Amino acid sequence: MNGDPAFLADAAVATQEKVHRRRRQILIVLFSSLLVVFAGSLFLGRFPAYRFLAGSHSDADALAQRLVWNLRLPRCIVAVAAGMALASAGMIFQTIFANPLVEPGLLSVSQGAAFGAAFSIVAISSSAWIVQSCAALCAFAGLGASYLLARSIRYGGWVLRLILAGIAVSAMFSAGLGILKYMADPLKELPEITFWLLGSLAGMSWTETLSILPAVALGMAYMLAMRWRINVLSLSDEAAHSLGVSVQRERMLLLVAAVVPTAAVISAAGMIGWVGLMVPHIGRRMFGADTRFALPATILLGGMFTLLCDDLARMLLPGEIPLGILTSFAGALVFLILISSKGVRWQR
Amino acid sequence: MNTRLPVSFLMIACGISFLACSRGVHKSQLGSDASGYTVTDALGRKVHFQQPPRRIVIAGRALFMIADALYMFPGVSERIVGMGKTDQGAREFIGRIDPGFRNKVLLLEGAGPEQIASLRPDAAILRSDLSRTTGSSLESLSIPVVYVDLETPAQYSRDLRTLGELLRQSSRAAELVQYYQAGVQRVRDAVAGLPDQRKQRVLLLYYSQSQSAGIFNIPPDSWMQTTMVEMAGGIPIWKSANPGKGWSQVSLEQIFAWDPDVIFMVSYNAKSADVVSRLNTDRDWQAVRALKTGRFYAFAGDFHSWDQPDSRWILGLTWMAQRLYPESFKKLDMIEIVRDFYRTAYGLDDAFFENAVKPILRGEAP
Amino acid sequence: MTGAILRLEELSFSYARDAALVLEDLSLDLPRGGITALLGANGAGKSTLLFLCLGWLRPRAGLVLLHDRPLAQYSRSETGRQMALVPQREHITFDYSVLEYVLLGRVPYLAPLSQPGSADYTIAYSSLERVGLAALARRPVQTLSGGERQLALIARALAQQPRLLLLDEPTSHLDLHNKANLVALVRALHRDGVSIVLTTHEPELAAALATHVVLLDQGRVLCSGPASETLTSEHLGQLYRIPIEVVEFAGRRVVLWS
Repeated sequence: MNGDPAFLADAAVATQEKVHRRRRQILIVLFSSLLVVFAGSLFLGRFPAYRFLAGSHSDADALAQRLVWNLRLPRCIVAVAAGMALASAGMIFQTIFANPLVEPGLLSVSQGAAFGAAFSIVAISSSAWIVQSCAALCAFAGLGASYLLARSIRYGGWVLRLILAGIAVSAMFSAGLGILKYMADPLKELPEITFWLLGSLAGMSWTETLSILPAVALGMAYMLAMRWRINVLSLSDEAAHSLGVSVQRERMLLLVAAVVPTAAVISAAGMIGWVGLMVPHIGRRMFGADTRFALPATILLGGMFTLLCDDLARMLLPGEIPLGILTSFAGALVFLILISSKGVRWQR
Repeated sequence: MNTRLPVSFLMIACGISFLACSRGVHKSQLGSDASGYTVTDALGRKVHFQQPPRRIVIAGRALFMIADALYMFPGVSERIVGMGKTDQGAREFIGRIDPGFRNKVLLLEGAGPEQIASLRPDAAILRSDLSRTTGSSLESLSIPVVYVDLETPAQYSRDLRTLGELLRQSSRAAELVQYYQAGVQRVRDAVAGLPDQRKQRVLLLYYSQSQSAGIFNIPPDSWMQTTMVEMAGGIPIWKSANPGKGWSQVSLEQIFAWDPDVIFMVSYNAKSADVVSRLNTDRDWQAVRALKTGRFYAFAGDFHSWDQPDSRWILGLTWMAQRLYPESFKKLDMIEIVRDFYRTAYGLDDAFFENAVKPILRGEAP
Repeated sequence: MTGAILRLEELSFSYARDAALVLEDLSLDLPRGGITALLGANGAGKSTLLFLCLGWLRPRAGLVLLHDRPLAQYSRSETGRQMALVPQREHITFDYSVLEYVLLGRVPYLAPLSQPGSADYTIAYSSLERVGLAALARRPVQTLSGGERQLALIARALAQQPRLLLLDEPTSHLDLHNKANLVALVRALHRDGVSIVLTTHEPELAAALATHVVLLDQGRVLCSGPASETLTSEHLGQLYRIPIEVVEFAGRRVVLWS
């Protein structure tokens, strides 16, 4: 290629790079916003009587210091980590299954994790590691069962089959969960299970933070490293294969990278819904379908969203509102706005 | 932006993990001084205090059970600064014996650790099932937490001693434990030597109005209710029928199948006497043998029903035993027992009993 | 190196383990530098054959050889650099821009953990120019018409810079104008030295485009060879079981039926 066509190509590439630069700038803005929200969350709360804990206050007061360091800081970190894990898992699921209505819950990853954690609480032990491992195991079992069941369904496109299978397996896990709740000690175990089914970050300490951080960090590092390649996996099997991708293996690896953090988060914080469904939509709206930018955006947005919801959860009322209720409410609200608005185009 | 992004991400995660580890270490190093004393609580933890706490917070579900136990120690009302929301009966009782009650309750209503902390307590007393949530949060704020169970007679004695240790009133605790043990012994002696054939087959039901018709529940084996029936010399016929660890629903059919000698009806919201009188006229229930023989009793109570692991469980036990074997308890005057209870446990005089307690006594009285 | 870019040796294939064989002992040479049309009725096994060539489907028995080496010996990305598939149609869920979509063709040249660079974008854009869609580079793919989408798929395949281009029923939903466009494009690619294999059930397309034709009838090769030898009245009549007349007209082969 020489002469005019090359010039045109360079011009097109230059435009593309400008677009990318703009996107990166917005990502940096998002990141800074996350930091600001994080810092704000550390100083806002129901202690003392007034909502805001002034800087001077925290220096002089040992209790206030301990509050920020031992209670609020780990909790905020877990909130951000949970939001990031769930949002990115949602994006991975939606891309791989080429369906914007999929979230880990639909394929019974959430229900499986919920069942696993409840089972562990009732029958095995309440120690964090065991609960998490149980949850992860059952999360994968749920995913695997959905997948295998989908293969044996006769009719419909493969996405429909997968969703049907996911609903069936979720229902099984729900039933199992119901039995566990019935058998649980209503004073000791049941409140834990119930509150946890609605999702809550109350009682998050450094121990829990430490227990979910490896899973979340590793899973998300992998997803971030593959952030462009994920696009390919949204194509049909043959097309992806012809592009030189080991379709099954790469999809499987990505799913593992998405499910492990999800299971870890669910086992620690319970079922926090809607983040995995709705935040990827916002990410795509703002940055386009290319997961190279949409994924980091979704991760940042997920962290911010969950952190803000958790702030409300602990500040709105004297008691704790289960986080899952707030994320569902806010998530549904945002979703409604998204659907009904005429497609606000951001940076493209 | 190739691998920079995931790598920097991992590094941030590592940094946070390091921070988490160091904070964890720091927490466990909160050492104890040489002076002061140690309290061993229901979870076997050793909690250190320099002096008896002056700002105690009680939180959690059904905390009136903890409160009723705590108020048996003199001078405790000035030391309590906050209590979670309590039900009507508790308000009636504790409200009467503690003039400052209103201020304490208004502060917290299903509070989280932050709001509890804003009271700056120097001790928190919680049921042990809160250890993983509210308890651990308070502990990470270096607020000493003492856990109690108060669910079985053995635990009750143990936890009374724990509270005594906490308040440096061990002699008072010993007194109370002695009172409870004497009460238990009195019942035991009266029903000792009862051959199995003469033992009454007892059914204890909890009536709850959750749907349009009420439902009847049986307690699990581990609860106070089951233990009390056994201590009173009865046979709890529902034992092993409850698969769960909470109230479990039973049908009228099952009740017929069991064919108990005696039925006790407990109700926390509706008046148990009303429930009993209603069922006595119910055609289906009239066929139950225990109703026909007139051995269908509304469980007694005053501020609270006496079947729960509240301080009044000793009253429930005594009353139940008298219902089951009236011949063995001919000389027992229940009214006197109740009067004595309030005098011994709470230091309340006869005037209090006549004005506050007697009018609200419910259940079958002799 | 033989004159065949892709060779199929005694290929047998069935979809399920104990199902009937769709293809049995099929041997075929696909010539280097030619335009080969796999012609057959619906359900004759054309797409199956294409996917076997691609390596997406695994044969029960037999070998697929690319450049005289078994396909299994190539790494995945190497195969992607040699062969490209243009699927019949593709359901596009997300609103990628055309350029981003075509850029996906650069996957075989990128390590799993790396992102495309400006060189990749340049090649993607050039592919778009080649198929004539350069003006639509920033448009969302979903807004493209059927014909334009087909061209975008071809552009993506071209971004792979393959030696062999596989097209699955490329004209089945195209109108005449777009069909003509596509034929012109394929001829241009042929001139540039790309080997092309396409499946079709339209004898007219084969007649217009192909240098070599393979007639497939229910999983069996009826005949294969240069177009002049295979596209005859009797062969086509045998294949479609209706009277067909192939005539020469104005230097072109015309298929007459009905």
